[in-house]
Amino acid sequence: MNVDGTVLAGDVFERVGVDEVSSEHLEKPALTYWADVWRRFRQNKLAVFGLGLLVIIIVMLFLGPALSGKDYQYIDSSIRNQKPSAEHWFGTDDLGRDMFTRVCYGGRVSILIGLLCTVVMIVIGFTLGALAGLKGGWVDNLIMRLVEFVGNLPYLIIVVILTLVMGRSLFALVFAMSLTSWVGTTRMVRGQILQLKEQDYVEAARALGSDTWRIIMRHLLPNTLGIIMVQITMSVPGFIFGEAFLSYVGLGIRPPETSWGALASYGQEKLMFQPHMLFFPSLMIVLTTLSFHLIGDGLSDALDPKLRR
Amino acid sequence: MARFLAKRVVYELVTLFLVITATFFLIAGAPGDPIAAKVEQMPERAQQVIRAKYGLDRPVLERYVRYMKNLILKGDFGQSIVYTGRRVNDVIRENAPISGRVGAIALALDLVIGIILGLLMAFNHGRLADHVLRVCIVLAICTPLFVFAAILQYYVAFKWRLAPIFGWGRPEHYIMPVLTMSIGGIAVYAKYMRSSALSVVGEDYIVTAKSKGCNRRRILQKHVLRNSMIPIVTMTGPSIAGIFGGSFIIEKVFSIPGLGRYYVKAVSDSDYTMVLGLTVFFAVLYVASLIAVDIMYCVVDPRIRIPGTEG
Repeated sequence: MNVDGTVLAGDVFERVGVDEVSSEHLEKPALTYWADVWRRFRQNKLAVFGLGLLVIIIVMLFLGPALSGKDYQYIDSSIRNQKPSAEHWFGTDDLGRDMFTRVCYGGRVSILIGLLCTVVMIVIGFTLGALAGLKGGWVDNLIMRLVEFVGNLPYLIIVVILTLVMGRSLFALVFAMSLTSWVGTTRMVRGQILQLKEQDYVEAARALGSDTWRIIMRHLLPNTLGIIMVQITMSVPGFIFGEAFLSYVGLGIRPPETSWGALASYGQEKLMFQPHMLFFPSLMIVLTTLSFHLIGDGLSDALDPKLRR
Repeated sequence: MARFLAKRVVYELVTLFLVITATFFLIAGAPGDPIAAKVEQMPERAQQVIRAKYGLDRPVLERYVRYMKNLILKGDFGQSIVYTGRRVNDVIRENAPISGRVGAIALALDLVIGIILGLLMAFNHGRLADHVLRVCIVLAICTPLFVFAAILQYYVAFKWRLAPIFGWGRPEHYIMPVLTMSIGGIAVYAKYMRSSALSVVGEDYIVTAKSKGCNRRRILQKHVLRNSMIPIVTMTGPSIAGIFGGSFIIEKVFSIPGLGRYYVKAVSDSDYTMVLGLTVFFAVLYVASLIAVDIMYCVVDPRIRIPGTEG
């Protein structure tokens, strides 16, 4: 009502009232952290492309040999050095072995090495980083000195020496490559944990009597999972590269076992006359690293709180 | 600054010492005995003489002490067990400069072209040139060195005949290995330079400089370039050592008589003293490059020079 008594459109407006129940409902359903990350990851077209590419590659590696119906070691001297055809999709090598099947088998080894090394790297890196960050004091000091020491090592030389001393096996390769690689993870996890441990919920957990291990596993691991995921996607291609390098100079996988690096090394010798023998394994290495890179970039964008809307 | 440097140098020297020690004992405990393979058919007496010649009849610890003494006091890396009379020092003196020259030219190209490309992308942020270069860079980073080698050999040398495919001795033999080696490095440097320059361009002091009326050139030289160089300096150290890592592949592909090829050959020959000697040499170089980076750090980043803020 106005001062002079005129009714201001009293009949035009209707009182809506407050519905106590429905106002409790939010406009959008609440998203968990990972659902939100996944939502933003999906919006990144390149990252989704990378993920799709990786899935296709992995499916090919596992179903490929069955589809082509060839054996990767079967030598048929009547079909040596063939170009790619309907019968042999990637051609054949100089012993008449089907390249497609060989590339699939080699890829399994390469990716297996990449994953194994990453797992070892993350487990060592995370455990030491978490211990250093959480315990502090002399534990922190000792671990950080170790990090400094290992970080100063010439990586390649150490890998070469270790494969020389331990013999050339898959285990030696994985051991040597992951031994020198956990340093970055440790540094990162330690930094993250130093921030996290000041949080109230860690304090609360400690006050309730949780031991260090429980705090690490229940509270700190889930909260550092984001940066760890990014590290994983970035390091798998690194290890695949490392394996390819070692096999290429003749210090990695030994025949009859094969890998993309070993195949490429073999193809290099036949480059001038049989370029397809180098082309296909190299292409697979490039595509695989590319897909991991795109996924990693997308993931780190999706996890970045600054880019959160 | 002096304290920062001293601390770093001490750490790095300790690392070097530990690496040499660890390598020595690892190789001493390595399976297989190159002498045994060589002298199998010889009479017992001759075997003993040969073992005594290389000092292999002594206990490991004694050999270690003698090796370290020779290394530190005389700079003597020992001699090959497989090739009689070939000294590790001679191998290094003859072959290291070759690897070093190829690597140094490639590294210089990496830095110059990488930084220019990175700045170019940062200043054209979001425009076509930026997008095209970014795609190229991702592809270059995802491609192993030997693939570049093969592509260049196949097209530049084999199809177009622009440079010799492999070989060594004349200046044009540098073209292919240097090109191959620098592609990956250029991509990595350009990538980091771009993100580094972009983050610097967003800083307040650039806005201040602009509002004071600084011209573009001055802002670029005095503010952007210097500040965005810090991550590049950090990366350069490992790259210096990487000269020799990359050389393993490059020297194999292009038949260059450099140290990397020698190293790989020594490993496959189980020439343990040669492997040990070259490893020590690589480790010394690596540590020297780390120290060089620390010094460069002090020059580039004034925050380190101020006492109390050091890490």
